[in-house]
Amino acid sequence: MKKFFHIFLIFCLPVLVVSGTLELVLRNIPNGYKLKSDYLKTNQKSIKTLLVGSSHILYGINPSLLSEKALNYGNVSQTIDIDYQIINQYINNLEVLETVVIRLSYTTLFEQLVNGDERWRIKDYEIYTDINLDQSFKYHFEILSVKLKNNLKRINDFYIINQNTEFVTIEGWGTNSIRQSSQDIDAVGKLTAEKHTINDDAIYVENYRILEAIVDLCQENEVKVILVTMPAYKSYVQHLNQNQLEMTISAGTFMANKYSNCSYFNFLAHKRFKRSDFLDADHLNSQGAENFSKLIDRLINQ
Amino acid sequence: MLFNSLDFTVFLPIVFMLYWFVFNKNLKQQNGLIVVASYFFYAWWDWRFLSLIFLSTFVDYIVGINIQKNENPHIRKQFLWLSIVVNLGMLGVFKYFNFFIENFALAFSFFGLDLSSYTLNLILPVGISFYTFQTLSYTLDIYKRKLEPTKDFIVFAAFVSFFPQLVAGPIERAKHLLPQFVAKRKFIYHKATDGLRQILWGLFKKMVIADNCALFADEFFKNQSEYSGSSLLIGAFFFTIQIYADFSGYSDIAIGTSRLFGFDLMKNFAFPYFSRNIREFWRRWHISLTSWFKDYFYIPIGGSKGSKWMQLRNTFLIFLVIGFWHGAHWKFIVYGFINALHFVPGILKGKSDRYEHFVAHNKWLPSIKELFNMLKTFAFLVLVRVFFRADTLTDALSYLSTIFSKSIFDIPVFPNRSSAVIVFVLISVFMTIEWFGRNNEYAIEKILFKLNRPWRFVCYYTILFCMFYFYAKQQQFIYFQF
Repeated sequence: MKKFFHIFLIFCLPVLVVSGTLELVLRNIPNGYKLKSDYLKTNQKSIKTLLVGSSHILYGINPSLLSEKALNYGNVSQTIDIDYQIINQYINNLEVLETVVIRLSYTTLFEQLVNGDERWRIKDYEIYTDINLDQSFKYHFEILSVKLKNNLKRINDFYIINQNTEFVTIEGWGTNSIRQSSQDIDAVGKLTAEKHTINDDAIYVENYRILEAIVDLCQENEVKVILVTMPAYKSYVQHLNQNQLEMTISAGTFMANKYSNCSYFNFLAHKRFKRSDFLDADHLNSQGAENFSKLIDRLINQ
Repeated sequence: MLFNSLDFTVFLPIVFMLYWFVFNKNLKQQNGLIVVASYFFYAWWDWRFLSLIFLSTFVDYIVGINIQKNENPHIRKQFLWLSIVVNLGMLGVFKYFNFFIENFALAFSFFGLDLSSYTLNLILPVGISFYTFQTLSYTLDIYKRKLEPTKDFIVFAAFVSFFPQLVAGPIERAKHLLPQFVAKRKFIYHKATDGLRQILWGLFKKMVIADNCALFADEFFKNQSEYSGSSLLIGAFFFTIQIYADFSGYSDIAIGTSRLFGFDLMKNFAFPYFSRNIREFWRRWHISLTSWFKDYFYIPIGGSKGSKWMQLRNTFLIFLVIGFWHGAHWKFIVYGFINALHFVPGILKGKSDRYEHFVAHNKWLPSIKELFNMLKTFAFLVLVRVFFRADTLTDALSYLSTIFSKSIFDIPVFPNRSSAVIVFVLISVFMTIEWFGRNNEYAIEKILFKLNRPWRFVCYYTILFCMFYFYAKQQQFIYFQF
């Protein structure tokens, strides 16, 4: 037995050392989650506008173009339940918060990160923020949450070829959108719309209640809520399922009618946004984000 | 709890430590720990179905003692029937009830009767087909006076619920496994390291080969109408490799884990894809199930004795039952039927096509004839596996009709060509290792012994690295659904 443990430990030691080093090295790569969490904590007494949502918000609104101090707390694949957790956790600390902007996208009411293919992103909240989504052991480690292949690529990108894949400004705007997509936006629009169309709406009621809880919570704290359906390219809009879209829009309209602190704006097929404003079929690029941020700023100040 | 999960990585060392360090002085306590750990292992999936395992354990424990106690053949038979009814009854309700109701409903719909509303919305409890068969072997052996029943309920509960093989086998025989729970266990270094090595190899099969093949097989079977015959043929090939790596990987982990606790489980796979005909394949594939049916079904109904007609009847019966064991679908019945068809010429000619030795006996490479026979057998399996993987019989027929269409000559299309190439390379490496390790219990059992320890460790690290580097997506083991 002694020999078994001795040899087993000798075998495991290099594995543990390499794993621990990988974890440390990965955590040392700058990332938007930590940046946003830190910014929120250090500026909680001065943030007046909080933007939450998925990549649509992350790339679509540049807080530096808003008149009041703002933080873009949008993240890729962030879902409405996480938006609620962020607002619920920080609303009492954000002493001068006046407005919360939430995206109400085509998928918002029909998905949750914890149930989808992107749930590995839970580790970003667990490791780098105070938001607690899942107590599972694995989500507290980079090496257990992400495939080794992808982790090695991240290490190579950051440490070897000095290329940071996270492009986030200090106020949380995702500047990936500076890059232009080389994809055929017409073909991609159809594919993305199909991917975003759900097969069953089992989670709709729960997400609808979460949305209502957000608006309710903001009302209690005298914070204005602006729900926005972000602009998308026509090839995407044309292929959306009308029923799913109608459920989304009517939820926004209902909230705006029911709650005095809530307003809803649907920019999905807004004519102001042309091909040159889009990174891909459903995300704005930097030019589009600039236009949209100015538009949102006017709505915030109304 | 999945073997390829983080939960199991935490669970196994804890149980191992408790077993050898805390409860090592007392056999009863060790067995008690196995029962508790096994029930916990199962409850991790769904605690409600523990009641079924307990029911099966309790009934067969009582039945075993009573069959032994009574000399009256009628009473003995009554107890045996109680065991059969309870075990097969549970299977019948959870696994086959809806199948029969749906088919009765279809039949009765001709007479205007609607029975479809009688179907039940039930979840199939994981492992039910495995542990019910294991406990049945116990009562059947006692009835045949081949085995003495145990008086120790904990020993019997440990035998039924032993966590390494609880949910997907190997389906152990009481004669083989039960005495191991009664004997004092001693930690044997070589047995434990061998167990770890087998676990490593099983995880490699599952995480690197099976799960990567699954990505392609799932895509081709899910969207079969979008692909040419040549692509679908490759999809069937991927599934054929997937199911072997998945299930034999599970068996390797189960056997390896058992060795860590001082137990020996029966071999479940013997490199079946190197078989030269279907008869040989079935002697090497899911051995614990096929031997179970052979001993408790095929031989009692006559086996290969009697007239050709009887032999044919028995062959078709056993394959239909094996097919049906896999699930309540017509596709599995057809799967069994096609396999049985393969035996018809041999029975009619009265010629046995058994092989004395494994392929390329005492040689490195097979002869041309052996290679041809292996490829022919493998090709047959690739095609017949379509019935296994397709969602319905109709889907399977449609899949095969596309394969046998003109589009078989099209250039195959892959969802992700570069990944497909990597998976082909991995399969080639895997099958090569399997070939050179074919005379062992599992492929890497002795292959690495020629190397000294540091180089062996390098090989293990390479396998570990591959497991994490090529890790695709955590998938359940295929045989969990049975």
